Amino acid sequence: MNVAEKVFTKELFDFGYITIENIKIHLALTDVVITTWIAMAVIIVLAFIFTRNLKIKNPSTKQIFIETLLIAIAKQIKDFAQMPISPFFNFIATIWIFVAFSNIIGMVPPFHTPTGDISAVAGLSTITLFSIYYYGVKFHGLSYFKKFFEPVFILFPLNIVGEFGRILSLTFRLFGNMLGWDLIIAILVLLTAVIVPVPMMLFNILGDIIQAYLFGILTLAYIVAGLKVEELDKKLAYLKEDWYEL
Amino acid sequence: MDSLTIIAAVSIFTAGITIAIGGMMPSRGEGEALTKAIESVARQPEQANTIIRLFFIGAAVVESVAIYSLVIALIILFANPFIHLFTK
Repeated sequence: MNVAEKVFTKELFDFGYITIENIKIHLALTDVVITTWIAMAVIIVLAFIFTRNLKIKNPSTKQIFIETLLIAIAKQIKDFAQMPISPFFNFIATIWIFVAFSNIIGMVPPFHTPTGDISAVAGLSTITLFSIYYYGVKFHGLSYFKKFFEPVFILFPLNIVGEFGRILSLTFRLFGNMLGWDLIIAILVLLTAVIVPVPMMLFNILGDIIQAYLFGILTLAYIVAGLKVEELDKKLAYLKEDWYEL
Repeated sequence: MDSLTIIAAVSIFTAGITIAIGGMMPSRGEGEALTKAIESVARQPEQANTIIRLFFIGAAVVESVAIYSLVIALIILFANPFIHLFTK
C-alpha cells in the first residue's frame, strides 16, 4: 500500500493538454471535484431540511440546533468586525460551513479531503481575494483602490505582490494543514493497524474545525482591514440587527 | 553513484532539514505567543474571548511559515522537479 496514492488526489478522467502561448495546461477531472459536488449537495439538502416548518412557538429540535449555530457564527463575526454584519454575514457563514464540512468529509473512507487538494483551496482563496475588492468598492467606491498607492506611489508593485501573498498564504495554510494531517494518519495506519491512529483521527476533527474557523476569520480580517469601520458603523446603523443578541 | 541516486539522497536529506528547521522556529515563536496570551488571560479574565481570538489569528499567521516548509518538503519528496530529467 502506497501512502502517496492513499493521500493525494486521483485523476478519474483525462481531458489531455491545451497549450496557450507556451503555457501547457493539464485538464483532468479529479475525484476532489466529485467530492466537492457531493459536499455541496449534502449542505444544500441539509439547509433545505433544516429550514422547513420554522415556528416561533414550540420550535423543534432541528430549528433550535440551526438557530444556535447561526447565532454563534453571527456573534463571532460581530465581535470581530465591530460593525453591522448583514452585508457579509452570508458570505463568511457559508465559507465557514463549507470549509468545515469539506474538511470533515475527508474522514469518510471513499473520499479524499477536498481541501487537501491545492487547486480547490486556491479557488476558495481567489474567491476570498475578489470578495475583499467587492466589499471595498461597495462601501467606499473606486477610491478604495487608492490604498494600493499608499504610503507613496512607488510602492505600487510591492502592494500588488502583497495581494498575491495573501492568496498564497491562505492557500498554503489550509492545504498544508489538511494534507499534513492526512499524511500523518496514513503513515500511522500503515505502521500500526488498529488502535494507534484513532486518537490522531479524533484530534484531526479538532484541527479541521480550527482551520475552517481560521480560513473564515482571516477572510473577515482581510475584508474589515480595508474598510473604515467607525464611519460605516454610523452609516449602517439603520440595519437593526438584534436577532443574534439574546 | 549515478545521478538518480544523488538526487534521491539529496532530496531526502533536504526534506528532513527543511521540516526540522521550519518546524522548530515557528513552534518556538508560537509557544512564546501562547505564554503571553495565557498571562494576559490570567491578568484580565474578562477579556479572555478577545485575547484567545487574537492569539488564534496570530498563531495561524506564525504557523504559515511552518506550513510553507511542510509544503516545500512535500514538493521535494513527492513532486521533485528535477527527477524527470534523469528518469525515462
